[in-house]
Amino acid sequence: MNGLRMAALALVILGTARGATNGQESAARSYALGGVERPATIAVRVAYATIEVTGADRDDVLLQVTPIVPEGASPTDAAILAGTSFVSPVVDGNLMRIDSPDNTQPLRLELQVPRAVNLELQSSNGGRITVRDVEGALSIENSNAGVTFERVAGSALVATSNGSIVGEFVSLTPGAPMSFATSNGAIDVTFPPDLRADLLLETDNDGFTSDFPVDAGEQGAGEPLPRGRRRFTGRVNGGGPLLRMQTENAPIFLRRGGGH
Amino acid sequence: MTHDHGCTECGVADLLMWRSGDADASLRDRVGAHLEVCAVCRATLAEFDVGCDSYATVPLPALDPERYARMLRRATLASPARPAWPWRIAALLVLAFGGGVVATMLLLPGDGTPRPLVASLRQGTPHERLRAAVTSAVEAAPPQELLAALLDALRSDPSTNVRLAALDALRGRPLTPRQGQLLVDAFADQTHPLLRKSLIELYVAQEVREAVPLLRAVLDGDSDASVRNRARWALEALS
Repeated sequence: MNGLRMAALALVILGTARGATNGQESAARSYALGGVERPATIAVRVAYATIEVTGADRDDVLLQVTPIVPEGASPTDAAILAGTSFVSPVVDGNLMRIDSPDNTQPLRLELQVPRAVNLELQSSNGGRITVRDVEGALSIENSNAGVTFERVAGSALVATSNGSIVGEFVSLTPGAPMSFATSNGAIDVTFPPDLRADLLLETDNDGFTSDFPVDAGEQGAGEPLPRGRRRFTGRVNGGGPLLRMQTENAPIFLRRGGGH
Repeated sequence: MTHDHGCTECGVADLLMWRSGDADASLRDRVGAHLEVCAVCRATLAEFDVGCDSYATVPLPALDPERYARMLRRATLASPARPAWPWRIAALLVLAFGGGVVATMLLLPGDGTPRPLVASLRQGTPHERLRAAVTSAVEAAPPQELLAALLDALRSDPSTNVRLAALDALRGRPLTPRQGQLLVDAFADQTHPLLRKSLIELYVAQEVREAVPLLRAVLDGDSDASVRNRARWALEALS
C-alpha cells in the first residue's frame, strides 16, 4: 500500500511540475512596457544567474526563468523548484526591473526584448551573460564568468572577473565613451571599420593586438607601474571618444569587422 | 547665437545651459559630444566654475575622535578659505555676453545645486556617469565639489568601469591630506580585484603615504595573491 501511495504521489508531483527537471524549460511570460519614451530600459540584477538577452521584432518583453536543478535531484525537489518564483519583475513606465541580488538558486534567465533597448545586466557566480541583436546602451557587470555580445549597435560598459569579454559591434553611438574591464580573461571586441577612438589600454606582458592602425600617444610619462604592467594610449582613425580596456593575465584584441 | 570666446561651433549660452542642467536632450547631446573634442569650450566652462567648500557633504568614515581631530587640523592648514568674489566676476562675464537668464542663475546665492558633471556622476545612467568621469579627467582645475563626487563614485558607484574612470580622473590631481585619507578609506569598498590593484597603483602614483599601514594589512591578509603582490610592490615604492 505504501508503495502505491508513493507512486501516486510521484505521479501527482510530476503531473503538476512544469517540466523543470534537470534544467528543462519553465513557462515563459510576457511583460508589456509602459510609458512613451523609447528606448525602454531593462535592468536585471540577479545573483547566480546565466542571462541571455536577444533582440526581436516585438514591443514587449518575454521572460523565461529556468531553475538549474542539480543532477540527481529528486522529482520532488525539481517540482518544488518549478513552482517557485525566484524573481518578481516590475514594470514602471518604460523601465522594467528584475531585482534579486540575494538569490542563491542557480537560474537561467532568457529574455526576448525589443531590438531598441537599453540594458543594465548584473549577475555573479552564475554563468555567462550573453546579449544579441540589440541597439542601445549596454551596461553589464558579471563575476566569475564571461560576457558575450553579438551584433550589437550602440555602446557598452562591460566588467567581469575570471572571464573573457567577447563582443561585436555592427555600429557605434557617436561620441559615446566605452569601457571594458576584466581580470584573468581576454578582451576580444570587433568594431565597425569606421571606429574613431582615443585608446587607453591597460594590460601586462600579453599586450594587445589591433587590426586598426594606432597612432601611439605618450606612454605613461614616468608614472610608476608594477613590472610587467603596461598602460598604453593611442588614437584610432584620428581619435574620438575614450575606448578603455583593462585586463591582466590575458591579451586584448581590437578587431575590425565588416560594419553595418 | 554665437559668442566670441574662441569657438565658432558652440556658444557660451549653450555651454552655460548645458552646465546648469537646463539643456534639452538635443542640446545636451550636442554640447556633451563637442566638449570631448574642444579644449577651448572646456576652458571657457572652467572659467565659470566656482570653488565651494562642499566637502562637508562627503560622508566621513567612522573615526576615533583623536584621529578625526588630527585630520581636521591638517585639512584646515592645507585648505585656505576661498574668496566669494569669483561669483561676481563670473556674473559680469555672462552679462557681458548677453546671457541674461543664465546671469540671473549665477547671481543667486549658491544653494549647493550640483553642476552638470557632478549631477551626472551622482544621478545619471551608467553611461552618463562614465561620460562625466571621463570628462572630469580632462578638467584643468576641477572644483572641490567635483573631486568629492569622484571620490564618492570610487567608493560606491555600482559600475566597475565608472569607478575605474573616477580613478583615472583623480590620477595626477593634487590632493589634500583629507582627500588622501578618503582615497585610502576607499580601498575597503572595492570588491573587484582589478579595482583594488588599480587603487594601490594610484597610491604609489600620488605618493599617498597614508596608505602604508593599509598596504601592510593587505600584504598580510588579502584573499587574492595578485593583490598581495601589488601591495608588496607598492610598499617598496613608497618606502
